[in-house]
Amino acid sequence: MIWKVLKNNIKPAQLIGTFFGITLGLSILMVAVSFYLDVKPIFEDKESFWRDEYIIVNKKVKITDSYHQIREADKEKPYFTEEEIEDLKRQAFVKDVAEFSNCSFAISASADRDSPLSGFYTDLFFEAVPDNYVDVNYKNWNWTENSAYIPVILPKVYLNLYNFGFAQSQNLPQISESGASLAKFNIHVYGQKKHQKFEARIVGFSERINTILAPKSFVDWGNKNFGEHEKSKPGRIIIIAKDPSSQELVEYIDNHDYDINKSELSNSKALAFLKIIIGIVVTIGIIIICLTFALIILSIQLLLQRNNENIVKLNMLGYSLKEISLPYKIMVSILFAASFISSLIPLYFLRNYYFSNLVLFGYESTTQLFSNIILPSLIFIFIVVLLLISMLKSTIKKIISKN
Amino acid sequence: MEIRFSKIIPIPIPESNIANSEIWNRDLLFEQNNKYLIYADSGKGKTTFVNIIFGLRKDYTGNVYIDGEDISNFSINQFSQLRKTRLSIVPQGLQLFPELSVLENINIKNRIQNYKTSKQISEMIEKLGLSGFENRKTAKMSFGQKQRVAIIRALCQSFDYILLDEPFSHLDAKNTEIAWDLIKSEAEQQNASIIVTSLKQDFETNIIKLRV
Repeated sequence: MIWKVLKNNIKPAQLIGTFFGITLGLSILMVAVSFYLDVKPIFEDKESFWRDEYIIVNKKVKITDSYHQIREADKEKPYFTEEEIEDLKRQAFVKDVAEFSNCSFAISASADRDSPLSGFYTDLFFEAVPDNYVDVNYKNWNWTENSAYIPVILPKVYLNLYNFGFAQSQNLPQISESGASLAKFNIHVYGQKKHQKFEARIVGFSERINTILAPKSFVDWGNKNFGEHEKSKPGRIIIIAKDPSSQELVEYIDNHDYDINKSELSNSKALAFLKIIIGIVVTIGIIIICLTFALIILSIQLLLQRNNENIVKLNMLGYSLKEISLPYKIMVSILFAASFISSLIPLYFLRNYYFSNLVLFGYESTTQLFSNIILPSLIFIFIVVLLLISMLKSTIKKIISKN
Repeated sequence: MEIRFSKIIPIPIPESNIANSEIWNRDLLFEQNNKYLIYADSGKGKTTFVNIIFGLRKDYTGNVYIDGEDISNFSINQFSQLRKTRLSIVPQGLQLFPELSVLENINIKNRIQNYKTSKQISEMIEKLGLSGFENRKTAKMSFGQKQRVAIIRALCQSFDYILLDEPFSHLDAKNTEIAWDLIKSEAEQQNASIIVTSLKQDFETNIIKLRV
């Protein structure tokens, strides 16, 4: 019966409006939280999505107009000195730096007579990087001394160049990655007046490293046993960037006149834009949530003020503060519970929607919907309801005390 | 229950009204099982007197003690508790809920203690000539009818004191008598005191009269 008195002045349209307001606020809040939690690993744990950015850096090769200058200037210049590498390692945006190891011995490749590649012969070079920089997932990527077999990785662009350029123009069959790995060929190593023959196979194609890769152990061994000249300085280095979107990295590269493949930074630009967009969305979300809560607080205050007279009358009859506020408490709780349940629907659909886009990038969420989003949201709502209830009680108290 | 007034002066009352008053700026003791008539012309502070005891006004100097405790220190809940079981009131403005029916207005009070049975309520309604109006919204009733509803409502609780602020102002002599008898018998049953305010002092012989 108290409800009958207190519900006075509550208009169904107002209640429905408040319900939709809270539902909208909660939906935005939960979607924002869920999006934040789902996307956070992208920023924090690079392995899950954007991974570490590997950037290959080389010095610019200068075109000079004198043979003398070419000999003198470029002899040293395109190579990285130890100081330069050390300086790079010290930069905040660099997680790790590795050098490319070159071969200082001659290599050629040929095919056996009974092979489909019969007649194939080419001079060749190998380069090597530390094993953890290799982006081809091949478990036997190593070479041990006395092993007659060398795994080789080619750049993906070579395969594309062949398949979409050469093969089409010459009417030759296209080769798949797995098809290419079936072909065996021979590697001949020469130097220090020695010669050794190995068997080799392409074990994968690298998108990251644009060179012909052999295991570092093989290149090191070869340089030691067949090396004709002293170990050359690295002409290219590979860095793992902590934050590839950092402006400092770009500035450092420019200031030192280094060269990088700019397209490698395209992901970084996307990441930077994503950061800005998330920032904007979260800000707008927070503003809407704050406005919604301000609206709810105002509506409740207005409702109580409208029922001012009845609240005072009830108190005159002996109804306590607790008894008078109880129906409002129930109303607020039901309103929030209903809004919460309703806001799970947009959460579900919006989350599925953005996930379907994230999945395109090969991203898998580690976020648990219940424990990471729903439960904290419930706790949040519980706290909000408690705050609203205490505000409600203090307003009722004020109304009673004033009269 | 004992109510003691110690030099109470309501702030809005002009000084000229205080000198001749038997209430203001005096030390008074109201005891249980008595009947008090507080009489005065309009505007002297009868309603203020009732509202001070009932905790509805705090704009006064001096102290009011209920069972030795200064009521200015009472919390909202302490007053609620008093109003639930020990102090009953028929305010001058009646304070009925216009959107509720006669019966609902009575029941909203009675349900706190479940003090009266619905049969007893029906009897009171009948005695005060409100039969047939049970389900009528009080908004649609005359002030005299509303006064009777407020009186029945005030009797639907236990009390040590019942405060009646000009309760019969719109009742005819017959209805006044019935209502007064009903109140007296209820107060007697509960060993309670009646404090009634009126414009007139010729109310009843067996009553302590105090001029505001």
